[in-house]
Amino acid sequence: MNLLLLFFIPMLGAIIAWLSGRLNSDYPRLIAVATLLLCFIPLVALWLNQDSDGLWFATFNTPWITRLNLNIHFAVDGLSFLLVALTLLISLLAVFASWQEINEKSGLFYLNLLLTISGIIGVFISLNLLLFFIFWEVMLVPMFFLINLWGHERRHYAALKFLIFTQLGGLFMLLSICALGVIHLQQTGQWSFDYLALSQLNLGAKEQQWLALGFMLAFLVKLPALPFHSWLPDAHTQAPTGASIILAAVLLKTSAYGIIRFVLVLFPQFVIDFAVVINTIAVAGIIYGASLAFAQSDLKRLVAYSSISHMGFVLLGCFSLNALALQGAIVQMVAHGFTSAGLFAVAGMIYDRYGTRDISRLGGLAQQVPQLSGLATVLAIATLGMPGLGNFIGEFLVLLGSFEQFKWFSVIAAAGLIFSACYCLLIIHRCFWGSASASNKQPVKDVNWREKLSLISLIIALLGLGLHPQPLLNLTDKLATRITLKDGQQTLVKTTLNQHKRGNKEQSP
Amino acid sequence: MSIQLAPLLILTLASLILVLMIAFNAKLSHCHWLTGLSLVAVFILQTLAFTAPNNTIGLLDFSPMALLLSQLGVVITFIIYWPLQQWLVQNSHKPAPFYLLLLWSLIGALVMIVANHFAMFFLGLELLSLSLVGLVAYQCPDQQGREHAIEAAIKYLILSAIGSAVILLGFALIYINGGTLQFGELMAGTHEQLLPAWLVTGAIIFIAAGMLFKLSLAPCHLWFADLLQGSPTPVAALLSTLSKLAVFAAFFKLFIISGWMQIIVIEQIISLVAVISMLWGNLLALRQQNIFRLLAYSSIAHFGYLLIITVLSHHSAIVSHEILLIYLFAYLIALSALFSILSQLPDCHNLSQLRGLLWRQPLAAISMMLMILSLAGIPLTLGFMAKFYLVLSGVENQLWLLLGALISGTIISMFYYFNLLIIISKKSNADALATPLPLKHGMMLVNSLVALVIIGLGIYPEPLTRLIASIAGGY
Repeated sequence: MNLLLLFFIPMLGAIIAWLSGRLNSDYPRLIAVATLLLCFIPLVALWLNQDSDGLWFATFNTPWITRLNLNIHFAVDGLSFLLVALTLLISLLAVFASWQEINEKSGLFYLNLLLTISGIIGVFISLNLLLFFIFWEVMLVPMFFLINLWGHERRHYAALKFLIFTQLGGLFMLLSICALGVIHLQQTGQWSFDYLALSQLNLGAKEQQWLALGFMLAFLVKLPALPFHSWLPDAHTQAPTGASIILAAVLLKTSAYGIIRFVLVLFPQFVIDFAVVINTIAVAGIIYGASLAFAQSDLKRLVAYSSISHMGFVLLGCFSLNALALQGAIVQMVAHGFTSAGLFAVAGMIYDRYGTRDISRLGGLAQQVPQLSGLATVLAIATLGMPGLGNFIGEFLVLLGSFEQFKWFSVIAAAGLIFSACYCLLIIHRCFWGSASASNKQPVKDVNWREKLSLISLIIALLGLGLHPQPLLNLTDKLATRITLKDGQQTLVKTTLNQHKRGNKEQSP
Repeated sequence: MSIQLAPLLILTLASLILVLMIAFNAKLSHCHWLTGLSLVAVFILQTLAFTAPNNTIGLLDFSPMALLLSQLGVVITFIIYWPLQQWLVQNSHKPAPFYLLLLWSLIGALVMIVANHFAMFFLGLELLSLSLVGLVAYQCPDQQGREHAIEAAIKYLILSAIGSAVILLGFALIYINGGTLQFGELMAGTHEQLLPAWLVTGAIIFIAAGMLFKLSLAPCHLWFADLLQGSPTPVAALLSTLSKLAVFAAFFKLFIISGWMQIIVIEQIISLVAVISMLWGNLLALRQQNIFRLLAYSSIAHFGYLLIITVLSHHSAIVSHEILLIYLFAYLIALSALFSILSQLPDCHNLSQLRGLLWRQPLAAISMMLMILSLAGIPLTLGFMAKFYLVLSGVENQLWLLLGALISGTIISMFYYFNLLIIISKKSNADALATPLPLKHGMMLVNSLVALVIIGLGIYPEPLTRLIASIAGGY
């Protein structure tokens, strides 16, 4: 029941916010905040009522389309719980960030924002593959409207590009989902799209390869991984601040979640066979994203490229065939959620005050807005992976875990950290230090309480994550070990890798 | 007399009364209400007919599936009919005969759907086509519009006659071969063959070509966009929904019952036509500036998707019937409601005229957007459920070529559907396009209802799938 509420409250709130916009344009944002706060009640209830031995905190299962044996199956485990909590926190931040920016048609804006959030929560809690796909697609449409209606100058182009790219991936995933259902029909004589039922299937290596390819295409586009990333800088740059925050901090995480939840569990053989390929993509993304971020002059574009780089670590962690790296990937997802949300919020605040996101036209902000500069500097330092802050834990665990099996990938990925230090320091140096440029001499207000509250709470969260990550690791520990140990996969991994190594040694004496 | 025949008789009776009313210059609103009443009565009688035991009556076959399809035809007509009076008052000097032609084309369509014999099929086809020719040329107040309409009507008349002629030739050959025109007895091998096999196949290809022509599928699609552009809005709606529904239902029935789909050449031709239609239709729709041309090309693509079901049918017959019903229901309901909104908007031909509709007329724009989302196959709309069924059984039967075309076509279609959404939601600076557009809420009732149905069944399709699963068993 709590699960159902978790996803219905934002949906209901969306409609109320929309209708209330007709009465007064201030109501929708208040209703949005109230809705999101209300969502924490079922979340806390889930936490308190959790079943301590099982993997799932709670499940909800009811028939939906009997013809195809489709169920509405929601469930929450540590990973889902973590990501739903992250979604709700970040959404509050997004509402705060849009507080002053959105004046026009605010009812419609919060309708779309809350619908996106409800779709994202749906993605994180559905255990029926078709349901997962539906939420996966449904969250894109309101996001399309957010970019299209409230974005910046090239919004129509960016919105269409975002939609086409993600739809392309999604349709291939639909093919794979259908094929899984058909295979279940052939093996057991019954339709099923249920995650738990499908994970019992016996799939040959060839089958796994094709099916996983459909899933991976959708996830790599959304992640975004290297050849499919070109929608991301456009969408991020053109979206309004609130939408950018949701997009970077939560929407990208749905793909990593999909990889962990579905690809790693349903297609273990594929993961072993293709780990090298995917890790190459991941490491290339880390280096490529970081070096392009260094070359950007638009603040939002810079943060967007840094996302590509950081999500590369997540991908590397997922495909390192190692529980430690997998946990690192999860920590990195959360930490990147906080930092990217924070940096996009800062970019929005700067844009509000100076009317530009161009780094070359900024400078010396520390003299004019000292508090904003200080908070932004902490966030930038967190992004570059300073020990003691959240990102360090994630990146460190990923590197440590992947070093065991993929030594060279880990080495090259570590080099990416140097690049990220470069661009983060560049932000601090160009924007906040130095002398103020001529164009922004006029005095502007420093952060107000709302902005201060959001940034400080992010920094506290990052500090907490960096200094004491154990609770978070405990939350996902069961899942990570279960995935990597499934069906003796760990031993399988070890043996296949040893064979590889032996083979390599024989080839290169 | 059996109850299944009652709908056709009611419609005929209503059209005769209409003739008298027009002769005595009755009020337009009376004609309107009479038509509406007869449509409602027909719908109710069709619902009652489901329980009637006897299915086949002479040349007509009232299987549950045919009944459901003809009910769909009546629903579509009703959606188009609802805002008709307002449209006629604004756009025509002599509005009343429009209802007459509307009823006749509906009779033609219903006869085609239930036809079980070639004579009935041809009767229905001609009744439908000839009424539509009259409707396409229906008089328009302005000179330019009239010229367009007459051009379109002549085009349609000639091309549809050629299509019918080709079908007739094919049937003549089939008749020489088997000596029967009953659909159920056309099955190859059940009677002695007088003609060589290649000639029979040739005859089947003739029939297929004629019907594909009427459906405006890919190699024979050139006329359709011109026709839709030239004809009045409600007629464009009838052409792309009711007429296509009738022809497709007959095509499906004929080719499944007769077993012609089992001939490999025919299956290959149909697959090829489907692939070309899906890709080409969507590609052509991309660059259209006229909303009717855009919908025409998207309709070509959608009927390409529907042809996949025909190919599926000899792999798994019952499932293919279910998909056919769901897809036709989802697609035609959304499309006819979209047209019915367009017919309420003043002079909407170019896409730029739709600009900013969301701010001028929110209710119409939101229903329109939901329908476009359904046509694009976005989840939580009925259109997605239909596409999901289609993809699912395509995967089950491993029709990879067709699925590839389906996926590519869908991706291409996203461009123009979402471009349409962008245009509708774009803010307009021009004064003429920025003022609110008052529409009668009564007129919007049916469209809004359809939008709710599309979303409602998209979220919880169980009632529809259950109904269809119970019906699809016997065709």
